[in-house]
Amino acid sequence: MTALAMSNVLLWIANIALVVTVLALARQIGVLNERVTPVGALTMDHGPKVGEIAPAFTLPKLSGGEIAIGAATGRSQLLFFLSPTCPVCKKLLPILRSLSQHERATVDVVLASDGEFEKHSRFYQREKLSPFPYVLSTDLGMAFRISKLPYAVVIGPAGLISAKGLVNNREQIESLLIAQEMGVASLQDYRAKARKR
Amino acid sequence: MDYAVSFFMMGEVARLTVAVIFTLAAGHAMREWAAFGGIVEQYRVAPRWMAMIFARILPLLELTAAAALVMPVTSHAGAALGLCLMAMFTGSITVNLARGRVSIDCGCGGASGQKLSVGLVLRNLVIMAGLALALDAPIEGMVDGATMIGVIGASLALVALYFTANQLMTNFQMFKA
Repeated sequence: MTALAMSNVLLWIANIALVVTVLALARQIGVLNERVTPVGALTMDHGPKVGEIAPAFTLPKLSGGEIAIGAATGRSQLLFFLSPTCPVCKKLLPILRSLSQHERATVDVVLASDGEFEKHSRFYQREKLSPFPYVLSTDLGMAFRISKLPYAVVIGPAGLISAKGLVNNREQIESLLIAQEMGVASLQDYRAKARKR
Repeated sequence: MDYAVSFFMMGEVARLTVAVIFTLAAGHAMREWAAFGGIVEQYRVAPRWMAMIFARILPLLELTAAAALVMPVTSHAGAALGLCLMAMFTGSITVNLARGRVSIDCGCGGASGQKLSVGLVLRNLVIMAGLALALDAPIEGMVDGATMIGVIGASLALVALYFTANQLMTNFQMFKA
């Protein structure tokens, strides 16, 4: 009986150790998969290219008044394309808030979307977005060929597009601003250049 | 080994395993409650305001079910509550699978990035079978050393298997993408 009990204990230990090993292996495959996806904001090859003149718009703000987008205002603009129905966009709002505070000396953050006025107006109030200009324009999204959200475009002080990409977290938004400071189009671009050297 | 004893042991394993799973899920949901609200809303089975309230209550319900499952006296009530919760989750997942909205986050471990799939429904059905077993199993039985070792060992192994299944489903979705 003691031998039987002992063997039972040993078998359980071996069993759990094996399951944990399989779990660790599966986790490693998952992590490897995440590693191969780009760490910076992903630039998709659509729309106006980095370095080109940004399409210029003058659009009505949700809160009233107008705002010029893509004009050579001497300040940088971070256009953030979002939708009230995208959870990741919502997650990024507090991050944008702190980022715009931090970078307010040089960068204006503008929120952009399209759709029904009422829906966005409710979203605007609910999420307390009054610190940001919020514009609704299908043409704007078309001009930049936005196909995935949340997407961000950085327009430099001279009205040139300095960085853009799909953003899912703080690091990726920051990578766009850093790309602008360093004068590279994107992290992919930086890596390609570094590899050539 | 007679029938009653094995039934008792299986019930013990089921309630312990599901209790651990519920506790961990609730912990995830509470840690990332902001994202979790958005995830619940994306299921589109309730109006927005209800989804938001629900996202707050849900982890508490899960914790209640887990706590009730652990205590032998309340384990049947806990299993019943757990069954209701699981039926609700599985129903919402099935509805969205039928709608073709498969790319929403399942919210299984907070914002885990795991998408909806048929595998998820099967996984939930297995958990529900475990809960049904716990609901029906006798709550009092002979607890000796060997029973304890068997129950704890099997529960730990099953919890680890649950996470392995989740991870493999997430991996599979990444390969398809």
